[in-house]
Amino acid sequence: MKPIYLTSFFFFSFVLIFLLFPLVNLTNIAISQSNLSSLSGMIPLSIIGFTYLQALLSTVLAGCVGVPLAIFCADNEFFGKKIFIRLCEVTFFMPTLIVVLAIIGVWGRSGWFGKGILPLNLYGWFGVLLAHVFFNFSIFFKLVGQSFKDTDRSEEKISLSLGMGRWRTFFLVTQLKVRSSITQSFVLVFLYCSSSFLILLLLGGGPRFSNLEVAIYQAVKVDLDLPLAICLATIQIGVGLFIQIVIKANGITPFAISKRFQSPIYACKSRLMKTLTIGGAWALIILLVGLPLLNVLISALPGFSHLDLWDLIRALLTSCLLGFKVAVTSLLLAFCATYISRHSRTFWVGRLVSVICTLPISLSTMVFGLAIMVSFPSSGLLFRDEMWGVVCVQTLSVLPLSFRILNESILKIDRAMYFTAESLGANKFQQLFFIEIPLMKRSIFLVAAMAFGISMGEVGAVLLFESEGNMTLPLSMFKLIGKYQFDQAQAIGIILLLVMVFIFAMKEKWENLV
Amino acid sequence: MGKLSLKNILIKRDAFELFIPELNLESGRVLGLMGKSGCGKTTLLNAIAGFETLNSGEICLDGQIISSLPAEKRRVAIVFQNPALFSHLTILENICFGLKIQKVPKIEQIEKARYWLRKLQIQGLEKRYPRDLSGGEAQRVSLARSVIVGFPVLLLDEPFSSLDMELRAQARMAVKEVIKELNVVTLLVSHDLADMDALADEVVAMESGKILPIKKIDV
Repeated sequence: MKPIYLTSFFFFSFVLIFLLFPLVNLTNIAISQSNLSSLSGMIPLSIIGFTYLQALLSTVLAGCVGVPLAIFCADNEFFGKKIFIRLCEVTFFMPTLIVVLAIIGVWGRSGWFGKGILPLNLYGWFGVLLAHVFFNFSIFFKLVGQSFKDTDRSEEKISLSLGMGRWRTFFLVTQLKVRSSITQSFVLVFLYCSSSFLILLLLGGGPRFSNLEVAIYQAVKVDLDLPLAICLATIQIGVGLFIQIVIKANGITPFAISKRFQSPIYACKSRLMKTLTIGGAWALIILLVGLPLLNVLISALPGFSHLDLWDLIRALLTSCLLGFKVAVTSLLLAFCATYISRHSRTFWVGRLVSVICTLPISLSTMVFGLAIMVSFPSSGLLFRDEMWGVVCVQTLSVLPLSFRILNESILKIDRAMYFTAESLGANKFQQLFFIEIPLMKRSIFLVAAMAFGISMGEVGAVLLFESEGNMTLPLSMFKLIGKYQFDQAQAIGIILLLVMVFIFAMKEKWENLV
Repeated sequence: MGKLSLKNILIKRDAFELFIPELNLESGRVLGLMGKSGCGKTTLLNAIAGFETLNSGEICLDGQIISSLPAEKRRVAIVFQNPALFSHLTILENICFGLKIQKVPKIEQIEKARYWLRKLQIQGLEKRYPRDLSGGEAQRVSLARSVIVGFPVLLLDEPFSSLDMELRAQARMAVKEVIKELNVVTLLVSHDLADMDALADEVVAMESGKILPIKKIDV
């Protein structure tokens, strides 16, 4: 049997059983249980409006922070630039709960600023937008910065030599080149913000500030109103698919990478201007990222003395076990998808795989979780492991990113290498094990580390499938926050953060070794 | 060694059509294939190697039909313009790759590799990685990797075009020696008359997927 058949069997079976069937089933139940008039009565339109309005505002604000910082960093050298970039990039990979705690610690009623200097009401628009900007400006920073650095600057040089000023050159030439990366970032951030769960749950502050995700969670777990949850999830699916179609129709690929060095032409020329800009950028990052992180570190210390060590170890082990399962499943699924996409002889099969792999970007863990929950009501029939639902949901959530990383890596393998190996007598399996896997080792480590890390910090799916057996670190934190034991939650947050730092440090070490 | 014969080969790809009514190649002889870009030279080589599917016709090696076999079972070695060395393997591992696939004992692999390293004047590079080689060295390693397996057919697809003049001359000499020693069927594709002059016993020209009526040009 050829590897293409094995990978196709695994990939299509997985997505049919755990992605397509549950989503179709969920939509089918929603359609069959209510006619349109009763459906409109069931769903509070304010929730839908708020979901997308907050997503839009969050995206615009994140762009307003991320794009200027990206452009500034790309062309200017300054003291501490590496730390600055790390601070700008780190937020995206931080567990949501830690971020929420950090923001509460600085901006909350009894936080550093909330107490006196800036007594703003964190619970509502301010908290939601602040947390979303904290998380997502790094996407603009990374994607726009990369694209800005990599675009060919010869046109700009000609434009400058012809007497056009730098601002005009930027708006008439460069802006056109980075526009697609801004659009890509915008779409990604909008999708993330519209399916945000924990931020809205903890900082939303009541029914006025609930989005679809929170409403689904409350319908399932608090009101026990499954029909409403299904209807809300169906709306999410519909909007998600619509956005996907728009993305595909406009040829926007959510991730684009090119690598070339370009000489900086937008570096600040005046010394004063440069000092002011650097100062402003540092102030913004310290206020937005540095202080919240510092707050978590400082506030966590008293919490350690109150922690139950045994519960902590149990939660840590459960988190690691879950992370390991998600890492293995994600790696297998993404690798199979990548393999099919590269080796399928039929063009549309490769295209289909790519579409399936990007589909989860526009859907949330809550929707996947509910779909799986409704479609496999008695999980014991299929699996003995009570974590399986969480593993499936988290695997599907990281699929777009893991597919993209592996696909980029497999595409770098020169066709001539396959031909040479084949002409030397290597069959497809031998090519896979002797050529492809060794050449993709770095990306494979990266995907495993990333899936492990994301799974460790994820809490939406864990909450939905909550049981005694899946008391993970974030879930323990969530429970402690519910009891207003913030210092203990922050102490667990520190441990979670340390585990994630360790994973990413290991990842970098492995990358250098292989 | 053997005889490679092509009969009524037809390959259709969109508007392009390659048709070779008959072509016979003897072992120990080098057939040079010339022609403009896009005339079908590489397609023909790929078809012989098994990377292109034939619409009709057959390719026989020593009377056995090989066109129905997958590429890995044809025993046809190929050297590309791009050396396509496996970047994660050392030079020694690259050269021994084909032998490893054939499950040749390790000691024998190393013995054979040393012979070809010496022959192609690249000894001392065994432990290096492809990124540490010059263009000429990489091309010789690529040649060593293809000839070490001892397949009866050797296809050379513009193997010198990425090299500068000096390296080109050196590489030509190396290939000439190898071909002389191996006594295999060799097909060389090149745009350069000097390559043909140095290596080919006879040259045919191709145009629009066909071998021209002026069949053979003795160089």
